[in-house]
Amino acid sequence: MAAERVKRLASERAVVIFGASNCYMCHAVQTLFTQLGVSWTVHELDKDPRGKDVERALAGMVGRGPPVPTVFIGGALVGPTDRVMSLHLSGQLVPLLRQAGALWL
Amino acid sequence: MEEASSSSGHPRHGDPPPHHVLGYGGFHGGAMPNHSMPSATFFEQDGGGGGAYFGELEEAFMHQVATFSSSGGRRAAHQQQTPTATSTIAHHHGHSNAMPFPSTVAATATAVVAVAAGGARPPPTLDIFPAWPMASLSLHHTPKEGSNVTADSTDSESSSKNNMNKDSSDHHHQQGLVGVVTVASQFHQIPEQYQPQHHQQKMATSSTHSDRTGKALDPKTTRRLAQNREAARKSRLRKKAYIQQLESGKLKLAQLEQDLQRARSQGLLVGGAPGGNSSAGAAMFDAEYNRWLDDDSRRMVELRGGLHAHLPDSDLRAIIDDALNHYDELFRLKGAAARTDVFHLITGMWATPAERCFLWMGGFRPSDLLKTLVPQLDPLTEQQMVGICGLEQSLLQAEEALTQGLEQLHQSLAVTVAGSGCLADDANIGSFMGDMAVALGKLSNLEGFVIQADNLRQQTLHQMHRILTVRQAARCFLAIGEYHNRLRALSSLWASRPREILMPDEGNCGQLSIAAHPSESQYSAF
Repeated sequence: MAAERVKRLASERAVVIFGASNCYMCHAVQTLFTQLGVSWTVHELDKDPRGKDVERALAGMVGRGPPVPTVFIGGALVGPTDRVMSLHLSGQLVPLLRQAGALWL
Repeated sequence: MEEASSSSGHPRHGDPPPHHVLGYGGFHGGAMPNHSMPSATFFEQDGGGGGAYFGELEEAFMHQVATFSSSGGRRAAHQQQTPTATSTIAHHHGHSNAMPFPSTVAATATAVVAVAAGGARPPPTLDIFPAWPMASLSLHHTPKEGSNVTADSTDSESSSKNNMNKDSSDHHHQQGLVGVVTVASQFHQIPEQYQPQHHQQKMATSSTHSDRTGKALDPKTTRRLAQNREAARKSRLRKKAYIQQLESGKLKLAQLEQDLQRARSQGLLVGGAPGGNSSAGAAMFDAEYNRWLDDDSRRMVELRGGLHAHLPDSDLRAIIDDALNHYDELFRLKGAAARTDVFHLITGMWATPAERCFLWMGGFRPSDLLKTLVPQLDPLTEQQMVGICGLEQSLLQAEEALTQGLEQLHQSLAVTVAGSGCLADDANIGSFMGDMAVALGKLSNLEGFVIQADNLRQQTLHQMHRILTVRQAARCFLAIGEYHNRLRALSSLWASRPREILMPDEGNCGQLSIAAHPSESQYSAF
């Protein structure tokens, strides 16, 4: 149930970030996407009445590590912060963004 | 009255009151070069003075003897006073209360030995009154109680000699006083026992010498003796203070060891003590890191050897992969350390000072390393250059993202620590604990940043490995190792740099060079 909700929310925009208002790493991820010129959407789970369920579902998808922030690009799960960063360093993040239509430059 | 008479005839009237009251003033007023407070010995149970007492007596007697010869006119006064002395002594012997006794005895002693104040040391030849006069001389006592006194003192004398330092002050008083009394009485006895001319003869033998030396040195010796007393007293006080210091230090040490034990038994400490490196997690990481460094230097040697030996690429690649794995291991260690003691990592206490200077989120800044390495990796193909430039740009963006996230954490933490109320007002315990709880929660975000920063470092190394050729990668890893070696060497050199103007120049053995500013070549590596 929660997983479906996650999928649905993730597909609404090109870049969807599940985070929390008290999560500072979420802010870092958002800053990165801003630097790339990408518009993103963030769902703050601590403000969501059903946030706990979403968090649990995300934890199941992500595995080890904190459930937030978790990034979806083009509806597909990218992963937590270190995954996003590694992709970027390897130069694979930007093509992914372009592919999802989040980036035109 | 004794006081009056004693003071009149007493050249040492200027002595401080305790001395005066305690009298046997001549005893302590006289040549007591080693013992500043014989009075203390008597009545204050000062530890250092115990054994001195009898030496003082001996010296006092010398003075007495000397004085007798020099001041014939006063002999009469002395003799006049000694019976009084003896009688008063005898009279007071029964009292165990030390207070009246001393004053009277003091007065008496002062009277008896008053004029002996001349400070010259007794000539070595004169040993009529050895340190333990009671033991050697048989005493005749006119007053009945006087005999008791002497008998007691004979017994007490030897015991007191052994036990002086251990006795209670009262006992000490008794023995001291008794000793003095005995001496005084003995002295008194002699003129009574023998004819005055004997006494005079005895005096005569010593008189010439004393006469020569005694009077002339009076004021100087007086001053010297007073100074010696002061010095001895000061040294005793210093010794006391030192012992107190030692004991408090010992207590503190025992307490610290206890705390350390307790902390260790409780497992890993988060944050560690203010002492810095005292948390178990930090200590463990430091040990593991040092081991890692040793391993790394071994691998660097192997890599360098492989390069020089022009090994085939496949072999070199194996060595490089091994080195890369070794770096992965380091980041694994750091990740574990971040979860136990993030402050240790983020403050850079695990690294040397020079490395700490360049610290960024608990380690080296990957983009800086890249900028340093690229010029060293020439020649690079255009494709490689593009790859490296892309890597550098992505790295800068990622670093900026992390930095901004951490900055937001800092600001938020500052607001939390400042609290909801006013810092200047009396802190409400309730809000304090609440604020602390929130702050603790925010602090827990720190480890995430260190881990992400380490991830950037790790990915940078992997990307370099991917972009570069085998030989270039080998040189790259060697360069990274050597760069950090130099930073560590810089730290040691800085720590041990000489502060004087002149210092030996390591480069040219034997030559001196001015080292007022680090312009020497070995210091300008960076």
